[in-house]
Amino acid sequence: MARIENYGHDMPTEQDAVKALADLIGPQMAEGLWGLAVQALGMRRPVTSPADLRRVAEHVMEVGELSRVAGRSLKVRIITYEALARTVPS
Amino acid sequence: MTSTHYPELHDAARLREVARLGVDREMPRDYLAELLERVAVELDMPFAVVTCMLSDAQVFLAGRGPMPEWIAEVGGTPIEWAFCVPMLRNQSAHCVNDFTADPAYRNNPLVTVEGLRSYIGAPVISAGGAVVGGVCGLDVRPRDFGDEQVRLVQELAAEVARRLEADAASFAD
Repeated sequence: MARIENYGHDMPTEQDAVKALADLIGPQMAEGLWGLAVQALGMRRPVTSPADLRRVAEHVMEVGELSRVAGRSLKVRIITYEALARTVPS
Repeated sequence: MTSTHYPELHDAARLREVARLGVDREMPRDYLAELLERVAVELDMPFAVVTCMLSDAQVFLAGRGPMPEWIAEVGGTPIEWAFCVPMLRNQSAHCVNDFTADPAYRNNPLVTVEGLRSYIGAPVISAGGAVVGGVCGLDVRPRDFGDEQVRLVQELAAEVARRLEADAASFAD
């Protein structure tokens, strides 16, 4: 049976998580997003247990997906306005 | 933001399904063209589209027929102008024989400005049971849609859902 000590895979920490996010979206956004996700779940930092880290990770994923949908929606509304505004004689 | 009365639009579970399928993403979906061809030919409709209903806008995943330039540029419309919205609630096909005779639609700019007169559509329902969009045929003439046409558009919408799921699964692999 596989044993964790044989794999050399350390438990991910909150610091690892925020650093990984910061590499992609910048340190301020990463801190803000992580902090708000923790708060939204009623937790306190530092988040230490794997189960809680996983919940925060899932929340960040969900926020990202819903933000993407809302962003596209907003973009359609803005481009519609721009496209129609061009049809108005000045 | 919108003036519609459909809280289903903002239902997070539904929007998660939209995101899971990736139907909010701007990308070509050539695998839907053949199904839209069937809507157009078999229902004798000049326009056919597969729509996705986001939170405050609809986007077109595929379309057939000449589209006004601004709609083609935008790739969608504000949700207030979407004819598919009632399907969010009833989860079944829906048709309007003459928009100008229906108070719910007669002031829609796609009717008053673009001249659309009739519509037949069926919901695209995800594997998770959410209405993510619709398959629609649109005409500039009033029509008298029958059960056979409704059945066909429902079948095509179910096939669109299967193809979107397959596409999403291929991305996940």
